[in-house]
Amino acid sequence: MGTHKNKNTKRKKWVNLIFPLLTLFCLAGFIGSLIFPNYVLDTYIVNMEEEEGDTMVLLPLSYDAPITLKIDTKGRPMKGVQLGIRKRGGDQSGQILVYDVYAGDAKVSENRYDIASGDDGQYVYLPFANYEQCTGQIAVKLQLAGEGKRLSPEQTAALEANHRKSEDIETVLYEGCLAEGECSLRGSHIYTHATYPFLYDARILTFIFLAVSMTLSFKGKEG
Amino acid sequence: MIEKIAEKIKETALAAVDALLDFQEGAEANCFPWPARCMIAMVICMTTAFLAECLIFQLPSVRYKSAPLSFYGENALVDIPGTFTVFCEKSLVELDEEEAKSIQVERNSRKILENYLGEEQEEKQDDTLVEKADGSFWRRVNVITFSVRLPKARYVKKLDLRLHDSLTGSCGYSVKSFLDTEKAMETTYCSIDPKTKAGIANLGCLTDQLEISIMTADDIQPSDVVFTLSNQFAPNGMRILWVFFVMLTVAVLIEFRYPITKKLEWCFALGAFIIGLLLILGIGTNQVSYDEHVHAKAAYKLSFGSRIETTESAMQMNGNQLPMFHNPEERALVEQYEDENHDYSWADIGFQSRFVRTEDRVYYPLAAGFWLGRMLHLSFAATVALAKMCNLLCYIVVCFFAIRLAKRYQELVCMVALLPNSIFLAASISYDMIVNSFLLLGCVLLYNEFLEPDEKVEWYRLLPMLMCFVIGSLSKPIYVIMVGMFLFLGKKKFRNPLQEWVCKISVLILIGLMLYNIFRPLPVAGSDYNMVGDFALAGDKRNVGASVTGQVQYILSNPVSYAMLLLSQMGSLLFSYVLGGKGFFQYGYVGESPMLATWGAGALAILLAILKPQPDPEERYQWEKGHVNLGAKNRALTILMCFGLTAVIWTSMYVSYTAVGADTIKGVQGRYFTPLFLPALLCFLGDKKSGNMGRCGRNRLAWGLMVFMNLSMIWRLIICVYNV
Repeated sequence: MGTHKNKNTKRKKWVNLIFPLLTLFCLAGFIGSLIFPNYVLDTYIVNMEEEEGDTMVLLPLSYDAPITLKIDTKGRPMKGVQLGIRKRGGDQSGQILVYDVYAGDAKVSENRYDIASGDDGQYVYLPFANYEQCTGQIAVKLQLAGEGKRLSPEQTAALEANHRKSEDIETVLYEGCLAEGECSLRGSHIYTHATYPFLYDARILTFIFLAVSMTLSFKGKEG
Repeated sequence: MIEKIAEKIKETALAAVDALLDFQEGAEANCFPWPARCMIAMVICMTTAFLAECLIFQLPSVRYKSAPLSFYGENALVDIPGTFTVFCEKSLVELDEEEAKSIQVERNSRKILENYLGEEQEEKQDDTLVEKADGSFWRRVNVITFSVRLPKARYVKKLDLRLHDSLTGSCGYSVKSFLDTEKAMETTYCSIDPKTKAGIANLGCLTDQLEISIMTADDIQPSDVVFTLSNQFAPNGMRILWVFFVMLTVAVLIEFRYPITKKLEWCFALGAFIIGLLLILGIGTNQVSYDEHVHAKAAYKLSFGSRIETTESAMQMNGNQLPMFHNPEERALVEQYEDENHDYSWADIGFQSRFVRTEDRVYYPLAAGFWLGRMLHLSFAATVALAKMCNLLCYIVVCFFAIRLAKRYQELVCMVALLPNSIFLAASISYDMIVNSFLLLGCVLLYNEFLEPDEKVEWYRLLPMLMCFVIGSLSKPIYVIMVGMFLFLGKKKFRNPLQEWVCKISVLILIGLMLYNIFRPLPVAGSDYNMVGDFALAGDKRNVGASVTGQVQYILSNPVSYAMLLLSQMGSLLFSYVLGGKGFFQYGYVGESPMLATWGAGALAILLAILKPQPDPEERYQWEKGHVNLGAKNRALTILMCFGLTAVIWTSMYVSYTAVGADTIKGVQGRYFTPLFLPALLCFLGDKKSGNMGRCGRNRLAWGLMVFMNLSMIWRLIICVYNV
């Protein structure tokens, strides 16, 4: 009998300790989730298919003048773009794609990509350094640089495009670019946003455990 | 011949009754231990079921024995020259309401996408579709009519029609049968799925002339068609199982008094398992539950880790594209097709986050079934059945505890748990099983507190109660309002005022947080972030004109007219269930029970609540010591909660599902109110004596009525429609 009573007292002691501790643990999780969110990428496929009757066009990159991709991000910082790059059989070693980002007239992000590192026709993710600044009406200027051999316009790497137009996006070609009519780059626009994976559980459990803690018998507090 | 068979049936029936009586006598005299009694009961039930199938349902096959007769097409058995005529014509057929609506919905979705993306979206070209000036949709079809005169009358049980040419769309055929130039039966219609290229019609009549008209938008030739008339002896497994379970239920009611009286939760488990098993086996892979494909997609994805392998069959299940069957012969073809396309070597590969979002956790039981089926290398149909079985078992376990923990109202909880709507959803690919079962258990734990006002709320009761309400409301957070009744527990239930207030405020915040998540959901990881986060785009796209912001603005600018609309719609639905001839008990899109069933079950439940059973000194719960009813205040609060939650459910459907400013509220279904049944019934709890009826009689009535109601619905809606 005495042992049974002792066991009960011990169990009660543990319960009295566990629930308040669980409440605090979940509260810490709640606050922690808010302070340290998880960031994920948002991919928006833009202009990936041709309209009926349209065919894909290739826009060769130039060493002298950029192809400009103008995008209105509508206030969201843009993390990068994903563009289809064709190597067209040329030796691309040492060919560097420079894609700087401008917000208004100010250059906000300087970026480089080694064209030889990707596969032919691959939709390459081109992240923007300092992406927090890449917001609003931005312009991505894409052109070639590097110490590689200068290739003819037929052999230089080219970007995939079609003739479909999208709102808030414009592709400006350099003078002499071999493309008929108005073209738009094919690809995806990458944004980022915070997710709070444990926030929902942590905040719900905090209040469940707090409510449960209030049913415990703490010595001397009985009404 | 018939007299002889009838005589045999009579003899068998008399022998069965004698055996039952002997069994009863033996049992009463405690001649047999209970396992032996169970075994004897099972053997008697199984034998009777098999005999009933062979002697009653297969009688025409025995009486009019004949070999199958196939004709036309490549393997034609044209041994009856001059008896065929074939006639081809072109015709226009009006699309049914559902097809026409799906075209309108598709057009509307395209418009929304155009507005969102700022790009024109292409419309799918369908040359066979004709839109008339009055807005109705028609389809151009080719009609091929075969007129077949048989040399002598024969009994045709099944007409098996197969097409050798490839079909691009669904088509169908009608069969008119004649005997001595008189109509032998009403015209029978049958669909042909392009995936199986076969349609098997149940005729079941004596005929000497058939007229078969095939309607299709495709250009098929008469020589591509093969049809077979058959009358084979083929015992039906589903029917045998059904008769067996009916007999077993009768045996439990008559013979097993102890479990009915003292272990109602075990009887519930048996009844729910029987009904669920019949539903799972009978429905197979037919997608007949509410939004089953949406749930299937989520559960299937959840059964994988980060890498998802979607087979062609799974993809069709996720897109509601699986072929349907209507009899065992079609079922075999459908399952063969599904297995051929359930090959992981050419599955579509996708990826997902390993983190499972809150709203997807309700699919764990289903996902476990899909995972297990994959691990065991089961066929596609068996994997789907296993997923449904896991769902059903989870429902049974949770409701088992709800009945066990219910005090004086066990039979009411059992009735609610055995509601045809709930059992059907538990045996389907649906998360509503979680909603119904966990909220039922939560309500039992909550109302137990009201019925024991002098006992303190303990952590081991409060923790499962809150968890049940939270889990039950994960997918439909509106139901968390039900736990609001906790705030009205008396002072005596708590140890001191501080603990009472902190506890109640915590519960209030918990409710607030779950409701807040409806309006401000946590961001999802994916490209639809903007769509989910943008309130302006919210609204169910299945209905043309639905817009959350638009509807909220409409309600706020017309509060009085909306209140009138809400009350009139609530009243009209209630009226339709009570007097309007609409049956409440439904098996998804399969069908519903007659209104009489709603009345019978409703009246019995209310009577059982009002009348108190005879006291039993051995009763597990001595409820006589506690309060026997909720009291006037708690009753009023419960009614208010039920009414308020009902109004919220209606309003949520008006806001998210109905076109802006519509004079009707769309999408509200009776199943949404299932979680409210137990609280509503508990308002009737009274202390009037129920004469001589003790716990056993009450439980027999409650359990027996619900099980038999389900069994009768299964016979009428599942076995007769999909399994004969």
